[in-house]
Amino acid sequence: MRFMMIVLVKSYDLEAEPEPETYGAMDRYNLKALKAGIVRSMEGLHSPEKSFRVSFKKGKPIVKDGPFTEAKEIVGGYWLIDVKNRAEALKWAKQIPGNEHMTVEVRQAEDFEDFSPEIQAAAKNEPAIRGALKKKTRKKK
Amino acid sequence: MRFMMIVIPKGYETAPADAMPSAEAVAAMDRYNAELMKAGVVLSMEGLHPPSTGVRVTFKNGKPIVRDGPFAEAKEVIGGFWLIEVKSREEAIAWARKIPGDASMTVEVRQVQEWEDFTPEVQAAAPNEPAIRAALEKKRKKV
Repeated sequence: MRFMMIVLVKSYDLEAEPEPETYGAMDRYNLKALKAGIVRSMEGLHSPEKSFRVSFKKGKPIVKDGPFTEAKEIVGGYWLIDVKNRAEALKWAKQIPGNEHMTVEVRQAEDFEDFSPEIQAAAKNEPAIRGALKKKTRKKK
Repeated sequence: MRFMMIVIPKGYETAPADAMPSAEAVAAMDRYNAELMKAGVVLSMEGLHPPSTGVRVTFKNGKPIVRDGPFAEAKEVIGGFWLIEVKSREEAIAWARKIPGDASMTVEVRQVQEWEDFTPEVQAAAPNEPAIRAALEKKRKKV
């Protein structure tokens, strides 16, 4: 089962730059998770100030630059992990070197089989896209 | 440049465990996904089960506290995401604008941090990171 462990930071905590040791502890956790073979991918994100949001009014996109005053929680980054069950996902989430500024939300990723036959029929390109994405690797910069 | 396009669907924060989108919305998204794929910009994409089936972990003095969903404090939750690789912020904006969104959907677009974005001090604090990145990339190729 795949789970996304999403790091959420309170928007008023955003200005506090993490100590290098916070990165050090995370780095050791990442290595442990990698060695256990559970990490599919992990990323950190740039600040909301450099980001934008798109909303849709009658299907028409409206673009707004960050920061996002309406957001109380901001995504800092995530791990996508592949584990045997929910208990194992929880075990890994509890080992994260977290602090008071951080909430980690753990959510199961949807697989094609999780959808009803009706939805599967509506997403007819999905299996081919999944297959292609598995083969694809990042372009070299 | 890599960007994460995070889908924030209004109402998903209280959605029941078995919530499903409409077939019509899925079909429109499927066409958009195929377009992204053909353009060669999508690296990964996922949808997530409702928060009512998830957990949140907070930390007090380093000790984890686990709570089951739904999360009453959450005003916005993630429905899913695309990770895309494009040439510029403008190109990311152009792709985000093409999403077949409705009035209940907000998409937050954030640039992904690369190793070079960190200060030498932070890079020194994360000595395993380059090797972890390389191993993850290799793993992807093997699949």
